[in-house]
Amino acid sequence: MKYRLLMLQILFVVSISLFANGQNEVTQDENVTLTWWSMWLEDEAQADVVRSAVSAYEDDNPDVTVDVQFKGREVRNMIIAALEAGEEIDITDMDPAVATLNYSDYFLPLDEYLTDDILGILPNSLVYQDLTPQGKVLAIPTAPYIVAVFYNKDHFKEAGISSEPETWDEFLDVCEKLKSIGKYPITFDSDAYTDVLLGYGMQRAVGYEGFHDAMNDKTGESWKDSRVLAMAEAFETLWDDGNWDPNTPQYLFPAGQQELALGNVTMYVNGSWFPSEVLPVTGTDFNWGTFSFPMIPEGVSNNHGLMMGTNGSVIVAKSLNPSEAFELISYTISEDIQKEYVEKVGGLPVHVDVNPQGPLVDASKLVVASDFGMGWAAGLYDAGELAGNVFIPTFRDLVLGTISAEDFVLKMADGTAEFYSTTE
Amino acid sequence: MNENSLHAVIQSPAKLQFLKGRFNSDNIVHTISYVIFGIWFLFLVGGLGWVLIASLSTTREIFSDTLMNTGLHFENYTKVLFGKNLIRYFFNSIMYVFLPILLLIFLASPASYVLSRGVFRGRNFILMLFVAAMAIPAVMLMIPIFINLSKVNLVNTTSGLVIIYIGISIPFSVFFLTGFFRSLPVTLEEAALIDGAGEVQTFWKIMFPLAQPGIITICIFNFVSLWNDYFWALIFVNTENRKTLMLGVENILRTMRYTGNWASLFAATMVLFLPTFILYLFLSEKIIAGVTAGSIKG
Amino acid sequence: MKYRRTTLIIFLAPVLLFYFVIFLAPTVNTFLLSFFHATKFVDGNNTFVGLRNYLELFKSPLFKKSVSNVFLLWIIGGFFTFFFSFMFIFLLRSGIKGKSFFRSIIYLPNLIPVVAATTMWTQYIYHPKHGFFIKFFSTIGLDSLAAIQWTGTTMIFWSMMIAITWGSIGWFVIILYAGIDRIPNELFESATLDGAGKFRQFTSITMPLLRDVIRICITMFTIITLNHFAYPKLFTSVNVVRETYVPAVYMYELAFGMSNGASGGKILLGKGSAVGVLILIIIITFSVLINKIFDKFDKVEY
Repeated sequence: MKYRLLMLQILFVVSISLFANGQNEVTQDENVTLTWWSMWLEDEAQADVVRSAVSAYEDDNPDVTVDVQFKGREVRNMIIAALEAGEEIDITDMDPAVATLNYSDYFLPLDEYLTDDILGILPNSLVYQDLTPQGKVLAIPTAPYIVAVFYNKDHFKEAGISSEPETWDEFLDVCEKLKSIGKYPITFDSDAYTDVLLGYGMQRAVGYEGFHDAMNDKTGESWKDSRVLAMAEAFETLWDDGNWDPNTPQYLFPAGQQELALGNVTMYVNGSWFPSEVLPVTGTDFNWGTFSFPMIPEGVSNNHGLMMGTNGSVIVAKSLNPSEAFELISYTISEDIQKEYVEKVGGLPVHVDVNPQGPLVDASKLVVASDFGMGWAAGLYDAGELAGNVFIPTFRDLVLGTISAEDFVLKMADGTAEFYSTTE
Repeated sequence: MNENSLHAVIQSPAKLQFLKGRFNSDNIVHTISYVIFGIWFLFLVGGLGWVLIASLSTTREIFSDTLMNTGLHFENYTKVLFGKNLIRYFFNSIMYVFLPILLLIFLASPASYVLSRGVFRGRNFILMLFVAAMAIPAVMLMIPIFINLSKVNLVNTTSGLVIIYIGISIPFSVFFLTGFFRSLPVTLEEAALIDGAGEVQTFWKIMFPLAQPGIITICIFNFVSLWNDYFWALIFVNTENRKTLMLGVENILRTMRYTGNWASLFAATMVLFLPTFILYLFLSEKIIAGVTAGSIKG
Repeated sequence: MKYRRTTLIIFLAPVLLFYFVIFLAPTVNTFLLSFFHATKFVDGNNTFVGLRNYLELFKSPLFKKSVSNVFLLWIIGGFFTFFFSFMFIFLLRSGIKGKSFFRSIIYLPNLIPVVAATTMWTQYIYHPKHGFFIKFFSTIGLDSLAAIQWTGTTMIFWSMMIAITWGSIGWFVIILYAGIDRIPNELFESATLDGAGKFRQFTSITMPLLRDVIRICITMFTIITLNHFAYPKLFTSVNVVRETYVPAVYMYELAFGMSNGASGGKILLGKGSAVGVLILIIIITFSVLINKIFDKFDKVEY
């Protein structure tokens, strides 16, 4: 009698496993099948564009079937487990910086596929921005972005500002004019965009190498450079002159962005996705402008250095059909698909002959004009937890007027030295 | 004057009695209760009400504090509700949630029972195992489980997700029910055993029915957590016709965040929220009934 | 009670089987991983580093900050959560009308999806311009309260704690309440006849008899608090800031190599696993302590 219960329980488990095997019927294709785990989501405009590219490819290649699955941003975490478990995937989407840092073993180097035709339509600086330790290209850039100062052109016109600022003094002057027409010149969301301000500030002040030297100097003394102090004073003045929206210390994403979208604030250092992110609030009539982050007083760099990056598509190293996979990817960067991308997604195109309309016209011009590209926040996060624990909070306090320029320099130096001495 | 003062003395205790009746400690407590609950309620209405109103406004109105200026925007909801396949996702979710909960009852109750009053080697160790299990963050388990289930072809199957859902609900359910069984007196079982009933029989016929209030509570908690699960569904049933409602709506939700469509985002969260809310409204009555019955018996 | 061996096996085996597959094997896997420098999820070329991951964690300022954050959440958040839970239960049981309605509205915040709740708090209640708090406090003239920068650097941790507490109270009220209703009414009736007021009854009858349930609740609270992930991640939805940093976020950033995270984008699966193991050890330690404290009191039979 008591065994009846045990039998029942065993039956449950057994039937479940039988049930399991019955579910998994995979239709076998004689054709070649390409499996693509896309980082976009079903309903995103980017997914539509991918689908267009896929059907264009399938039309031209009737013996190949493409199975594209829209996994969303977590695909990065799922794909590795899936590959290790033996799933057959050919293509996925990944930031080249991430791919080369962590996953170079899983993906195919694409150098042999980079024909002159392909290189002719891609910005080469972007293609070669992130290389594997062996110097190979892993990803085809498909969705580039830049970080710059986005602003409301109508405010500039109303305030009588005729040209975009290039030096810090010009920048402060612009702020004065904006205040006189009753606008807050600048704001941000401190939980989201403090890092790019610090990256630009330091790169303009001491250069990309100088910035990284300061991050890596275990004594912390490199922070006590006079140019760093000049940068700190520049931001100190910016706050003290009352140029920031006074509620800025409390804005958490997307509150600050919305203030610009609503026309209360003029400028915001943000990424080129900014106009699409606030489109529901701005509407299509918003007059977007973009200029490169200005020079810092006494800084070594001009204002041409541009923060940019991209998302890209990669081919799995174990893929059985790499050439077909590459051809499929090349459809996403073709001129037609890129035009569709610009229209539907409102992002920056990667095809050099395709020009965006509307909000990103200025932004794309910056890409052309830049002579130096750097990654997000000028590589601030190479400092690991020092970035989130010391650099960003200290800089944020400087920007928001909580600490002085001298204190900023001391805290950065002390924080760096302390970190290295306690963790070594 | 003497008489009057005598009257006054006789009357005053009566008056005091009367006043005491009005302002006794019970009434003070009641008044405080109503005030505190009133504040809580107002705050809830203010906060949740804002989410509701935001879901019926436009994004611009939400952030410019001009809510409801242009009337009710039901299109936020239609965008979510008539998005693809939501009915199918809904039924998927029902299946993924009810099946595990049902099986869980029959798996967890017996285990909790013996753990609550059994004396055997390793009892405390097993209990500690379940406590420890609850402490393990899901992210730590994901990869190994994915790999193991892949090896037996259970990824992207109903059974795979059901097994996982049962598995992750077991620790808390066993933990909770063990505590619950502990509060039931052993006298009934002892009597039954003396009468010659078998141990298994005693459990199913006597103790199991007594545990209804605890079991119902566990069902509700498990329902809420499984219905709201995004993490496991994302990894194990991420194909179109197997998706859960949470997955489907969460995807809409995330898309809306990237496109800045906050009004629809709120509509989507309300759609997610409503089933658990409605279910709670209905089941809370059952809890009261079940619990009252339990205390009369006990 | 002593049970027959077969009974024990029948009743425990299925549950333990699930446990093994879902928890034990993966946890052992992760535990072993914490002693390696691992950059891949599966056994690749992982180098054995012994206790190095743990040593690095003990020296890491960010990790220490995350632990102190979660500890504050546990002590202060815990105090307020249980204080309010007990207060609500006491009030609910004091014979007021509309008990079930009030109980529902107390539980309701717990059902709100975290993404909606955090957005409600940061974009509405705490908002510096059109927020609920600033409008309300200004209207009733409490200017000092209106001036608080809820989402500014100094207050953001406490603001998050308030949000978490608001959402958790209802859950504990429900569990404690289910325990209370098991107490026979006769006990209360005889106490009332003896002249004990409601409050006295609460402290002398209700609380002691709830001992087991309270123990469960404190253990659950410990587990939930140390594992907090969703609230910090969604409160500041783009990056988790230092002020609200918690161990589970640290672990996630390390294990998955989050680009703007604590490892600068590198996958440090071994170190992440070590964080997980430490969280587990802290929870188990607290559980054991809680059990010992509660075992000191006599078991009350009624």
